[in-house]
Amino acid sequence: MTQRRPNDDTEPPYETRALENLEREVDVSLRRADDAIAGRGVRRRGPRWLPITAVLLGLLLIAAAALATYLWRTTDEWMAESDRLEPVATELAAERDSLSGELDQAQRDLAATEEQLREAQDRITTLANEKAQTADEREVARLVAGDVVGVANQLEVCVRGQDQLITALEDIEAFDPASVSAFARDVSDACAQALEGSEEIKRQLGIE
Amino acid sequence: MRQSLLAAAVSVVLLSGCSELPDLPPLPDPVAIGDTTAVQTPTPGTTTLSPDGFRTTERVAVRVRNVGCGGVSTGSGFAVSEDVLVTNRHVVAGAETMQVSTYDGQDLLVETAGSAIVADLAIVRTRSALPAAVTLAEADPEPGDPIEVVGYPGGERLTSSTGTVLRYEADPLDANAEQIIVTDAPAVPGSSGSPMYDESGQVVGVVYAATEDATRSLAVPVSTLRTLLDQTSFDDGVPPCD
Repeated sequence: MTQRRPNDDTEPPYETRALENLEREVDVSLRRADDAIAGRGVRRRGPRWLPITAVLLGLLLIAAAALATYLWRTTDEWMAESDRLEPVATELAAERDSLSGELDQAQRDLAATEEQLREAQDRITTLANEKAQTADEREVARLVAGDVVGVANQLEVCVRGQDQLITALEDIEAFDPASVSAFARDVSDACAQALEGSEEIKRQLGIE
Repeated sequence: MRQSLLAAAVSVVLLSGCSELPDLPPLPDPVAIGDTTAVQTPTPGTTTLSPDGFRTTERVAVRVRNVGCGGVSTGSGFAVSEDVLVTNRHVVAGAETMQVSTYDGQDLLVETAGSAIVADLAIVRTRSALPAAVTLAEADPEPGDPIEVVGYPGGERLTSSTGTVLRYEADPLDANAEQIIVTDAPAVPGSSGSPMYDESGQVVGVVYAATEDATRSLAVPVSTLRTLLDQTSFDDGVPPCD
């Protein structure tokens, strides 16, 4: 074996380096041979990612199994809950149908009542109007009756004056002719007023 | 190493399966099946209907019968309080007897009548209680506003007609000192004194005349009516015949 001295700065020759490499390879071969003789197998190192991947896959498998178990149990719970709720839902549906029918009937009753209310309101308005029209006619009749009384009084004056005038004419010499003429004009005016009043009443009553 | 991983996995599976499950979430709200009909529930105190179904705007309208001036004439009016109603001055003019009846035909006893000078308006006090009273609007209506007139046109049955405020103009009849409202709501003799309502049912005017073709109605604005009602004294007694 060639040894280099510490202060030797010169590069060893090529033959020396080759010899050193050869010596190292021989040492390795000898160690492997010793190991084989000692029963220790020579282990070759595989890729480093392989064990990590295996661990991750294992964890993933565990998580998937846990999830599947949880979902299985949850499904069972939901199925049990569904079985419990089904009769309740059926009962509620029947109750809803019943209430819906009652609501429809109530709405029909309400519509009928509203129609009756409208008819009643119309009837009330009609009756109120008829009553008002009757009262109007009553008041008109009362006014006409007052006018009739006035015309009757005027006619009475007219008739009485004419009687007196006839009596005076039967004994005309006993009266002042001028006074008789004036009285006759008054009687004529009274009769004319009575006649005018009578015509007015006929007009109000619609009598031709 | 492999054996320990397998044992851990089995333990996790078993523990997860036997562990206490969390509470189930609540059921969703029921889903409506088929057609449903919304039912409106009336709110107590907000309805304007009386027990007989008439609206307040109809219940306050009264029919005024004026017996005097050699005949019988009719007009309309409306209650502003329990014993005070408003109508037109010319409706009560010359009345020897004044008779007032309500929407349902009840006759009311009339106590006194007073008239305003500034407008064709009159105040009538009744001894009988009026069925309802109106609410006066705070402001006069604007052109374009929809209105409703409720009264007894022609002395006939209670009638409602609708229209729109067209404009304000000077009174063509010189019966009012202020500007009057012109609307396209039809009116005929007998409509005089009818209340004119806005969309909320508040009085915005008092009808006092109509155009010759009866296609336009003329009304005293509510501001003038407020002025009248704020007066402490009126011309007692009915005005003379026109």
